[in-house]
Amino acid sequence: MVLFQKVISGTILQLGGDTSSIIIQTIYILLFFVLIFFGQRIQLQLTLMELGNVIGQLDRMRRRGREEALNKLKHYSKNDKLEDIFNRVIDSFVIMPESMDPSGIIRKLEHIMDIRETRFVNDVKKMINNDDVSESQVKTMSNMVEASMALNMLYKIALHYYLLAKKTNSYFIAAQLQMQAPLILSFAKAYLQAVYAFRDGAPVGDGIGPLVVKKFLEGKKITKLKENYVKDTSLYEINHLNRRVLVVKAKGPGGNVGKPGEAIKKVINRMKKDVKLVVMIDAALKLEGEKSGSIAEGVGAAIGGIGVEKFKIEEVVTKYNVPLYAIIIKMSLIEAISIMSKKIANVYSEVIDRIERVIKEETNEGDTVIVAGIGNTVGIP
Amino acid sequence: MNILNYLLQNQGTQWLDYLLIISIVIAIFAFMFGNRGVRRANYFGKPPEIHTELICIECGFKEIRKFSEGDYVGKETGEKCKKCGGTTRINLIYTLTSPIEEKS
Repeated sequence: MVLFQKVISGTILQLGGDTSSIIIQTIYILLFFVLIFFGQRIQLQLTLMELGNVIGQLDRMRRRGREEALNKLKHYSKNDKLEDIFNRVIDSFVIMPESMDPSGIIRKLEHIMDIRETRFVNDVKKMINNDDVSESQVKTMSNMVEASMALNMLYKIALHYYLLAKKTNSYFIAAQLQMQAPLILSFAKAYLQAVYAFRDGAPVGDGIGPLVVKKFLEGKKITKLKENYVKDTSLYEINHLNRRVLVVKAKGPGGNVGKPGEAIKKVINRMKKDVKLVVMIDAALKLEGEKSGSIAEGVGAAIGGIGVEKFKIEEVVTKYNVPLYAIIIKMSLIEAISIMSKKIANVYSEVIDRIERVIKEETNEGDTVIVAGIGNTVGIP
Repeated sequence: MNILNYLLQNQGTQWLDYLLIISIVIAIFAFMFGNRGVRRANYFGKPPEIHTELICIECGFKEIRKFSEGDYVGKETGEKCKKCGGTTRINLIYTLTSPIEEKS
């Protein structure tokens, strides 16, 4: 091994060696200057190559999501212009209300989101144009289209930064996208799984809240049932543990989150200080390292979304000084929006035990308690 | 082996230097493109297999079958319990495996 011998003896650094040494020295010197003057450009090209791969994967996932959603819609649709409406809906947008003067923004936000939801569901109805399809199926399919829409949006945003970096030759724009690429891909994976879940109409991880209250009600005599107590949300009344328990959940089995905040607000405003406790059950994002399906208890409004429902609950419980407890079931984003795993589904009995323990500890016999299961009710009536 | 013997006898060992350099360059490139955070992988994920768990209302016997469209939790499907012939309803719907195995 001549090269090794030279490296060890140091002769490779001496001028006037044999031909191979001169060639290698020249390459080293050239590389040195190339890396000094063109290092960042080379790095940019390498980063763009990697990002091109990410964009390709996002594109394939977007197309797969679109294909799955369209196939499902075509299965029920009697509309020849299905694809035209689908393309229009997939590019639709929502303009958030102005927040420079935040007074009354929640009301404005709720109004905008209500319009958006109604429009969206109506568009899906137009795509299907089939009276045999039930309202709950329409809701589930609209959730599926929404997941496909999210995939499309992720792709468009990533592509925007990729092309911007290419156009401006800016390594820093490319680096920002590169740093976020693993997260963007994991979101895309999650949304693609959501498309599969809503296509099949099976419960998703986020549905653990409604599943728990559904199981909580099982085998108990429902004394009052108000379906559509508020929009897409049902209210059940039972006598349990010698207390009056009012159970709030979104109406299933279609994909729906309802308006649990509005329902709790309505109940408390009607019953005022008679309500002694509110217990909310919801899925929550776990931190890396935490176990999926682990349960935690706390206080406050356990509800996600854009904040409208959370605001309503916090406002009304503060007004009437009602204690607000939360029980959360932890899972990753991908588990929350893909089909519920057995590990998560099986925690319902433990959560019910905890609800009963909290009710016994915090209230007396004869009191009124609200139990709210928060989440998407796909596959859970 | 014949080629190797020929090279060793007639060309000396200098060609090994070039082989070493080329191997190092290939190894560096393989490391750069093969281990840069985001790998070329199949992110489609298989649509997960869904299971429907039926429970007998009378004897509590549980049975698992494949999910079929229209199933929902609490639905009485009309299927009879295999143990006592009683009425069954859907207890849970779930997948046995995580849709995409994650490292964490």
